[in-house]
Amino acid sequence: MKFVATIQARMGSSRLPGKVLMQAGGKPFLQRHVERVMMSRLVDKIIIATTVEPADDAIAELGRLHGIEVFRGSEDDVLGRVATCLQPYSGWGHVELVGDSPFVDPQIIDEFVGFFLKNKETVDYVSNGIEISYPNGAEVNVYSVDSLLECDKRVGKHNPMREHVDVHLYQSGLYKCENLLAPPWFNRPDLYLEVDTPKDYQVMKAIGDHFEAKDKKIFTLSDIIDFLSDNPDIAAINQREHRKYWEIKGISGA
Amino acid sequence: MIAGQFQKLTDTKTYSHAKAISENEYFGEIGFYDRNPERAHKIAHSFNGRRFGSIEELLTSHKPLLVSICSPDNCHFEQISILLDHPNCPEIIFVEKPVCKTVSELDRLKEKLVRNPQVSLFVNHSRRFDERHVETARAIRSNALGQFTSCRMDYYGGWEHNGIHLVDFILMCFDNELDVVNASYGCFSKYPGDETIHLSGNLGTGKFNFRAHDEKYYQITETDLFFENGRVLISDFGQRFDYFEKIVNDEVENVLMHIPEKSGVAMQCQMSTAYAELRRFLQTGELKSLENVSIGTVEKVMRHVWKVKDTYAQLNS
Repeated sequence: MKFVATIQARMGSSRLPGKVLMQAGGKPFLQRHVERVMMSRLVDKIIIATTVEPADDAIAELGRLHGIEVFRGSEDDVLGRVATCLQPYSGWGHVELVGDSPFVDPQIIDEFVGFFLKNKETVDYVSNGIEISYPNGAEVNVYSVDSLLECDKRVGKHNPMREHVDVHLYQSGLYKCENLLAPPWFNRPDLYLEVDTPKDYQVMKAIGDHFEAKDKKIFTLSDIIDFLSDNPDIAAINQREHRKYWEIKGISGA
Repeated sequence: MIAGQFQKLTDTKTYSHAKAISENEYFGEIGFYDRNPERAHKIAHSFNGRRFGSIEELLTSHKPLLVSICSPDNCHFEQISILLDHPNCPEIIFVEKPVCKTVSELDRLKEKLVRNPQVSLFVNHSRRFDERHVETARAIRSNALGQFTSCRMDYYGGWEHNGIHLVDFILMCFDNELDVVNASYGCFSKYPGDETIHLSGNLGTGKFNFRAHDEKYYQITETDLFFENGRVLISDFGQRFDYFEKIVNDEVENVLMHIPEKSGVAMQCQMSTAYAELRRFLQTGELKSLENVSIGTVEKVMRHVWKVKDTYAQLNS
């Protein structure tokens, strides 16, 4: 089974416009994101799924510069955007990634893809995002492309929840879902490795700058956890930010 | 089996593994993979085995019960990961030391093992499969030689690559870890970023002194342990043990007497012992001595190796 990874990315954001192309350690987050996913052994293809909005031309240009396929679709119907871009990949597996989380660990991707492959007779959806135990922003969702194409058909075109993708798999009750909890040494749900607010940007920039200064091109989740453990003042910057996805996941605010 | 990079066929770890497997009638056909197909072909031919073009092909068509990894140190983590992420992951992965190169890799390996409880990972810390080393460690732990006073170890070839043997044996013999007081540059090794370093400091009730040697002159691995009532000298890369016991001579002086009946050769069949243990584990599911080369014990050794390296960096920054 081959795997295609999609990265949902757009420039529009009410809290931090242009976030995916903001820089950390001298590179745009999206470029770092792509480079990290390229380190995965088990991902065969990467597609940046962005919108047709003119503001996202810059994202398309970044993809072109780095030889990454870019698919452009609806801004609001993210489910439709990702499903349409995946239509040619029926029979493949899908690794769903979001542009807000550029420091995803390629080794987690491989591990979850491996888990999916070994258990695909009994599991339809593998994630660490249903119940957060890894640092926020380390989420990886793995499922078959065909499952998502089914969801796209099931969810009405006017359903406002189409702005989300994997939620339709794990909330529908139709798919066997497996949430993989972090082992103790990665169990840091108090850390936020996302870029959604100005405070997030401060943290993510500090991480990117730190490892760039050390000339460490690909840093692992352990490296990031160690850095934030050694620098709790940096980790604390975005720990009290309200997260939009809390409502979807049924998490009460801090 | 995953073969490593080797030049002379009969002078490699890969060959030792293949020989031990082929001599154990429990194991059937051996498969080989090497990045260099010619090398893989050569060794497969020698052991009447099959050569594969990729690890993926080996796992998919050979479906091995056990995979041994004897590749360069910096490939171990990647190759173990490939095995653990594959649907046809073998029941046993037996890897040459060091199991990985960084704390991050170790964390990830442990996570992968949690996700794959049906897989057992063992590391070839070869001294733990040698009867003399095991017996000596037992004697030291039982205080048979009296209180530990000092030890000298001479080594070559990088702190992480070969110093790991010293740390492993120290942790076999003592509950205490090395308390490094002095650490200084000895020489480069052929392993990038892995210098051979001089170390000295405290070890429990005694002192230790590790001396780094440059292999451009010669290779050496020697351990000399001193106790209140005796001495153990392990020379020739761990292959020769000499025991000495304290006696009082006719001038009422304390001197060391060589004990021939306790001395002799070692490390002669540790590889076949390892595979016999792996076979027993496959048949019974009982860890027994393999517990000493499983990830829990190995983690202690690795973390200590890295801790000493960090101390060296701090002392010399």
